[in-house]
Order: sequence, then C-alpha cells, then structure tokens
Amino acid sequence: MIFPVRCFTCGKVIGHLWEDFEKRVKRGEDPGKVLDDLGIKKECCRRMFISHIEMIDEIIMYEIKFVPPPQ
Amino acid sequence: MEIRIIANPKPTYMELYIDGISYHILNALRRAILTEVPTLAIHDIIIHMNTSVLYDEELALRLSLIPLTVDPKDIDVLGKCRNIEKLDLSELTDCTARLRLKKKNTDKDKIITVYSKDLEPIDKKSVRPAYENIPIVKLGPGQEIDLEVIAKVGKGKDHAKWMPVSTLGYKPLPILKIKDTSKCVNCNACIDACPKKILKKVDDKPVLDGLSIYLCDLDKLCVRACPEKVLELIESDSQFIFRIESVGQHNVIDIINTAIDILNEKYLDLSKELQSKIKELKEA
Repeated sequence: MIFPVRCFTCGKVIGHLWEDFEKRVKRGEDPGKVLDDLGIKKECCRRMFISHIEMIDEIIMYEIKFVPPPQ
Repeated sequence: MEIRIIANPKPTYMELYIDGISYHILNALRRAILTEVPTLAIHDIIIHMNTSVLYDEELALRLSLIPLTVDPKDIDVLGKCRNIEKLDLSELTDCTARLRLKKKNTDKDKIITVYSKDLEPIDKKSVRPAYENIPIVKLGPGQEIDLEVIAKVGKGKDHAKWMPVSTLGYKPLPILKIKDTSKCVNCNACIDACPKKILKKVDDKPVLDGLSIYLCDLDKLCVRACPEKVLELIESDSQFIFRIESVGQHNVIDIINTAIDILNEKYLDLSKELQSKIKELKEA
C-alpha cells in the first residue's frame, strides 16, 4: 500500500528515504548502489525497499472514481 | 577493562570494542536499554476526520512509529519521566505532549503526501519528529485528514514503539586454535571454506588477525572443512564487539548512561530493602 515507516525486522526508521530512492531508481540508477549511498546496510532493511510496490496512488484513483464522498 | 570506539560516524550509531567484561553484565546492559530507557511516542489519537484511503487503525499505527524528539526543558524524558510508573496525575501531564495533524487536498487532480513534518505541536512547542520526510498518508483530490494526537513517555517493555534503539547487540571475538600443529599440513581446506575469505596463511598455518577478527561471523565453516579435525574456533568470554543504533530520539551515549543509571537505581533499591529486612530480623 504505502511505504512502511520502519523496517519490519529491525525497527530502523526508513520511511524518510523512500521518495529519494524511488526518484533515483526511476532515473535509471542501480537500486543496490542507491541503497549503499543512502546508508541502508542490513539485508532486512534493503528488502523493504526493493520488494515494495507503491499501490496507494492506484487505490486513491479508484476511491475518487467509484466511492461517493461522505455526506 | 579496555574500551575502544571502532565506529561512531553519527551520534545515533556506535560500535565499541570491550575487553574484560563478562557475558551477563553486557546482557544486563542490553536488556536495560531495550526495556527501561524511556522515549516519547504517540499513544492516543483523536480522529475528527479521515477520508483518506488508509483506515483509522493503519493511520494510528504509522503515526505511533514516528520517533519524536523534544527539548529536555519541555519534557525531561531521561530525567524526571524515567520513573513514569511512580508519578502522580499532575506530574504525568509534564510527560505528555499534544500535536495536531490537519491537511486537505484542495487540488483538482494531483495527489499530495502528508509528511511527518506536518505534525504541529500544540502545548509543548519543541516536540518534533526526528525525521521530517516520513510519508504518513497520501491524499487524493478532495480528501482530508484532521487528527489530534497525544504523545506519551513510555518504555520498551510496554510497546516496541518506545524502544530507543533499533539494532542492539554484541558478539564475542573469535579465537582460532590449532590443537595439533604437526597434523596441520599445508592443505588450504579451511582457507578455501571461509565465505568471507578472511583467513590468512602464515608459515603454512591458518591465522585470524587484524581486521578479520572483527569480520569473522563465527560460522565455523573452516572447522568443519578441516580434514584432520585439528582446527578449533572458540568464542572469547571477555572480548566483545557491542553495536548500538539509536532510532533518533536520543544519542547513543545518553542511552547507555541512562541504562546504567537505571540498573544502579534498581540494585540500590534492592540493597536498601535487604538492609531494612535484616534490621527487622535482628530487632525481633
């Protein structure tokens, strides 16, 4: 849905790094090197980034189109 | 006892080499840091309006995981609020803070993101998130959230959101021994078996030294690979590497010092109780 605030396994705060990561990977950089650059060293935190799918944008569009606004 | 700082690149991370300490002392410190050092985290949430796609509960969970920092003049987290269980109601208000989060997307077709920096303090002005750019929720056109949150001082034993550290642990240093040097022939089996390739060869014998002592995982693959079964990898019982990584509320030095203080207080309490009991026994 939306990127987690903390790593599920170790509890390190990683939420603030997501937008930077996403921007740089979309620009064509290697995800592994971006993570090294951001200081994400542990494998548990790294999998949070590389396995995440940001679905909230699609769900918002669905909500706006099909769900009536609250009265 | 000898202590060396291996790495301290920022105030929230530290790696220590400690020589001359035993397992149980270090473990007591570790557990005191995890369970007893207090921090500030969002605990109660009043939701006035939430038309975002996240449920109220999900929103509450995301908010509670955001680490909050505060000036000790406003809330003395590590000092007075340390004994949060013993404080009365009027003193408890000194250990809480109120914040507000209000945002509406008035744009026609753009999606906006609500960040942790949008949390506005109401009563104690120095309360702010340790990281400003944590996305809390995304709002589509016309959606809005309006929340009032109450942050409280708490301890890691009640909930993981109050833990001051993310990763915290120690590992013993390895000691490589060759039981029978005459049987250790020049076979290279242990050196090839090491996944990190940190075993060196000195005088045709495997040796762990320098940086490889810190890098060794103690996986003992070299011991298993030895065809003559003469290699032995022992964990040291007095030399450790202690690693501590703060979440962001306190710096690591404060965390370690507070944990040691708390342990001290607990043992002094125990000693006092014991003395008074012995006195009672003698009088009776």
